[in-house]
Amino acid sequence: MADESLESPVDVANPAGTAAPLRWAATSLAVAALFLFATNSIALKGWIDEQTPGPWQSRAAALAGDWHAHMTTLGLAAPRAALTRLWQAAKAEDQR
Amino acid sequence: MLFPTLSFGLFFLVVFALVWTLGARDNEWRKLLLLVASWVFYGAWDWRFVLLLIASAFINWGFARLITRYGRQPWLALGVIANLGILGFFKYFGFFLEELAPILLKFGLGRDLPLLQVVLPVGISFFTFQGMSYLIDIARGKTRPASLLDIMLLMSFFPHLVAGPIVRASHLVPQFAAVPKLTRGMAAAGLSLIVWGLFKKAVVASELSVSFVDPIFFDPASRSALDLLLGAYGYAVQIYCDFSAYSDMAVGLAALLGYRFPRNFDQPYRAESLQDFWRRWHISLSTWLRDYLYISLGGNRGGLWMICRNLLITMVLGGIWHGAKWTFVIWGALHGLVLAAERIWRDVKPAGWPVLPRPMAIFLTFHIVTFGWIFFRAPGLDVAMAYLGGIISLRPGPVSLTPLLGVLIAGGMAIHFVPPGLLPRLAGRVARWPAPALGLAMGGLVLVIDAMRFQGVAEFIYYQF
Repeated sequence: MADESLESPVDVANPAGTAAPLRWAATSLAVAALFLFATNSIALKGWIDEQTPGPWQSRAAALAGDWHAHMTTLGLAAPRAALTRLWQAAKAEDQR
Repeated sequence: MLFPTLSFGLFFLVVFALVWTLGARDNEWRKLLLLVASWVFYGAWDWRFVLLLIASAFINWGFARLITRYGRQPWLALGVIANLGILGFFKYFGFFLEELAPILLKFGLGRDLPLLQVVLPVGISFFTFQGMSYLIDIARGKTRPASLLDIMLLMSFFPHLVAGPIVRASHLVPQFAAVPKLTRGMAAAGLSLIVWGLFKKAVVASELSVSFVDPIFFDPASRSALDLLLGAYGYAVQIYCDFSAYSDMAVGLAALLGYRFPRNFDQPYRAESLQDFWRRWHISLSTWLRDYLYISLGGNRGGLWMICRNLLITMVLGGIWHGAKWTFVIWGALHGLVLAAERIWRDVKPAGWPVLPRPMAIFLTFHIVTFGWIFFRAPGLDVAMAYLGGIISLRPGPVSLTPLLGVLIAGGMAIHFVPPGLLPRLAGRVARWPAPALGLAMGGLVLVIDAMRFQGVAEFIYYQF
């Protein structure tokens, strides 16, 4: 069924000279996940805290809490905290 | 399980890793894996929905076999009725009971009406439409019968399951048959769409919804005319950023798994007419309505009045598809009437009469669409009328729009005026980056979005349909 409605936004030409697209995509995702694991530890902690309470959840919550504390000590959680503060301050100023 | 959540992010990483560890010879296992993953995704709402989904897929697979073996009569009609029966029961039963109760009570018959609370399964309108289009395509000879596994996966595939795009069998089943292939261009476009969709939903749509639009629609009687007008503009931007974000993420997620989904939005508020709007907004639904309803009603045959009748019926039914509420009926009828008026004007306009300048046509179309959104968004007819009454009365009073919210509305509109080829060009450049650089850039962008988003995630508007 040739139809203009079948055009897709992912029809992007593959750049010449690039190989191993799967490894490239998987590495990108892995790097992004690791980056967020370190810099957005507050989100991980919040997510685990919201899970149904139980022995596994409390153990995971403790680990996530330790991880977040560790990342805060290293300063890796600081950019996210600063961004949130900036955004909240901008919103508070906006509400005045 | 909502797309912009950590639960979904982790779920997707696991699915991505498992799917691509399978070799080229394991395509059937890949499909089975995607099917189970889709059931896990859907079962996160309510596991009973999964049973309904399986039953619905089984029904469509069975009727397709019957149509192929014994011809379209009566199997196509029965298959469509079965789909409509499922949709009707879950989506419209309560509405009809509510409407029927006062009438029956008048005649003293309403005492024993069943008190049945029917839970609406998420995305039921999407997967039943998909099932129906499959049967009609089989009967029209546009697609071949697929295996039970392919039909189950077609209807359950998690990127499009709950809010589209409505991907047809003729488009997706052949993709399931082949081993999916990922290219750098496709992966770069997919990742860009996911991050872009996340921004539109988590920052623009959520902020506008919670801080501006919801409070105005909650109590329009206490708002000034200007506030109500700006609230309508706010909702126009919110629904675009919400729904197009879902579509962008769905297309991007499917691309990362090696499947192509069609475009579902194309700068809709740049439309120069309502007909043009429906070529740009929720394209998979508008083409569905065109191909399976409008054409079945007679389409462009039978003269001007028949065309207008078909347009009106199609759009009213399209409105009802969104939900069992009078406001959706009015929204659909409004679109149908304006489409019919455009058609009449095109046919009777004397030659040589001036054509509306393009900016004026865009302005007019946007305001007709926004007028319709008031009915679409209002929880009931009384609220919609109070909203419109407030605007018409030119009621004075304060305006709750803050500069930040104004920027979000303006930004949401500005999206419509970026060059249409910007994303593919950007994805083409990103595809040349080293993977670690792309990973860090993506992680950084997601971090910024996460820092700006509201606490918690509101459901996508189209989940309710």
